[in-house]
Amino acid sequence: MIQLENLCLRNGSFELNDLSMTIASGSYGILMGRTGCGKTTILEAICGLQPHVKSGIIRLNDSDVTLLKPAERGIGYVPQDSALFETMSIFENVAFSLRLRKWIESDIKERVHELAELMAITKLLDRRPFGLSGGEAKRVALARALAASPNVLCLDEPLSALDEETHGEICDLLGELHREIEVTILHITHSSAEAHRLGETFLRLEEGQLIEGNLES
Amino acid sequence: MSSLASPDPSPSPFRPKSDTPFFFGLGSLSGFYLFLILALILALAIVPRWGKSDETKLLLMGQSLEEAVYHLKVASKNASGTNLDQKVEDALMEAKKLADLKPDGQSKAGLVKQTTTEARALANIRLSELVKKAETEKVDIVKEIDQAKNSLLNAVAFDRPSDYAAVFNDPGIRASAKLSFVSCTISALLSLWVAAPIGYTMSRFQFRGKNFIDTILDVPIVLPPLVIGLGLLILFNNISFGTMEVVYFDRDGSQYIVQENRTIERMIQQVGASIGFQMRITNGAAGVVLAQFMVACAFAVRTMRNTFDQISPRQEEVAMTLGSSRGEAFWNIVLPQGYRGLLAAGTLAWARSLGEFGPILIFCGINAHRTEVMSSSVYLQFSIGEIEKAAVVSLLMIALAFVVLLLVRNLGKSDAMPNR
Repeated sequence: MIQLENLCLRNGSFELNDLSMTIASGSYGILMGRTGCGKTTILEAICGLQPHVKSGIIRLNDSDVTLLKPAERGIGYVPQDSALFETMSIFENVAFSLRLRKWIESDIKERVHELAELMAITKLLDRRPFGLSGGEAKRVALARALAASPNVLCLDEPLSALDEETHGEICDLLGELHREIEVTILHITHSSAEAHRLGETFLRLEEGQLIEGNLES
Repeated sequence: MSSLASPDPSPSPFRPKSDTPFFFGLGSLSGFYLFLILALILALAIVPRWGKSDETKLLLMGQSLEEAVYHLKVASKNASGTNLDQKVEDALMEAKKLADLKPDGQSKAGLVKQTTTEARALANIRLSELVKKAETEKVDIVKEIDQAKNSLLNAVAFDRPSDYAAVFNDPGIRASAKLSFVSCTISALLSLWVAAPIGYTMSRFQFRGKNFIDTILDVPIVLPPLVIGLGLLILFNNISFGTMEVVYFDRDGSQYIVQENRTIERMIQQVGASIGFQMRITNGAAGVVLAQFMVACAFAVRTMRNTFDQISPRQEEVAMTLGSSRGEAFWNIVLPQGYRGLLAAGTLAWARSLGEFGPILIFCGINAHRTEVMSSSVYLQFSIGEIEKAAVVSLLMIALAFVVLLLVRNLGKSDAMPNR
């Protein structure tokens, strides 16, 4: 579950006030809005990357995480540009969170290969991120975010900047993931086609207000 | 008619301008500077003398010795009838023997050595005595003997070893080369150690007074290095915190106590003495490193800051959501990405340290085997008129820098990131 309660955010001179919303556990939430209206700011606040929460509460799975460090929140985060760790191989990228959790090497191997199979990136595991296509990079970023089995997955425009074919592929992949893995997803987009295809809970950020409701409203 | 119709064709068809002038400008300007650098190195390389062959030495020495013989002949003519007659005659005979340059079954090198030794002895001992006696006895041979002496010393001078050998065999310069290499490496590593955190802080965090701190960080770049040396010297040696008793030992072993200013330098020495070390900053190798570090670090900080500015914080942020602490994200994600920048900053700091002279001169002075670095050696040799040796030391510095920079550059290339 992702819940915001009267959240006030500030990012430089940019402010968002009194945001409230709930995405039920296991639900696929879609957050829409124009470019520059503050969608990413909200997402970063949920991930704990914006230290600019003025007031309000962020809850993930019924626990208040407003003051927790990003590392403590149990979140999978896929930024818009994938931001793969370019000095590491794809395997190391995916294994990153597991290594931090001191998993034993054989378990890590098993988990990474399982995810790689799911994401169809097994062939890439030995490579470095340099030269990956946008779609491949997105798959790796998803595998990396999911490795430690987070409860919440935050996707920042995961399908933008992909060509039409890859767009469809990743879209299908996300839908499949959502069906197979017990995870609450918050997906930012400005494409209503994507929202239609994937979403269950719909949110729209308009003029600083979060409006809950279905797609048409 | 549509307003978008193509305009009237111009009288002559459009032709883009030639690229030749641009490339000519590029080539001539960069070529000019490159030429200057090479000319400079070449000039340094031409001046020092390679040693002459023994054959040439003997030929040149022979000429000078003949001159000496000639002057002594004149002198002996002038001295005939006085009580110096015999002594001048003896000197003349010896000079003649030297001028013969008979090998006597020894090698040419041996002959050169023997001749120089004997010629030097003749000039410096016997002829010097003669001059003194001639002055007291008022015999008119002083001028001639002096000229003979000069000719003999000229002959000796032809045996001068090559400037390269002289520099490479000079233990003081060897020590200075070693100290340069070691101190530069230490100060470069220290600079990196300090510059990486400063650069990261300045690049990632916003805080009050950041502009002010940024300006302070630039002060060592703006100031003449000399002033930094002066500041260090005053800080360590002139500012005192009260007085303290310093124990000195006399030559006979007795000790006496003197009240002296409690400066930072003294306090460090005291701490060192209490743990059984002789520690000194000013006048010591530590001071050399400190003086180099003060300047080099400012450049490293600039470079590191630019490096971190160019690394998007996104990867760190992702690492933090995956469970990294800030520190882990820095070590695992940011630093490996800034590898090139680290190398660049380290190289810059190293090179800067190698060239450092002013602050070391002021803060540590030039003590052979202790604070003399290569730039000081160049200055020393130059100041005693040994321009050739100064050039050799300079060449040595160029070679050292060249090798180190080339190595580091290759280290950067072998990295498995073709894109950066």
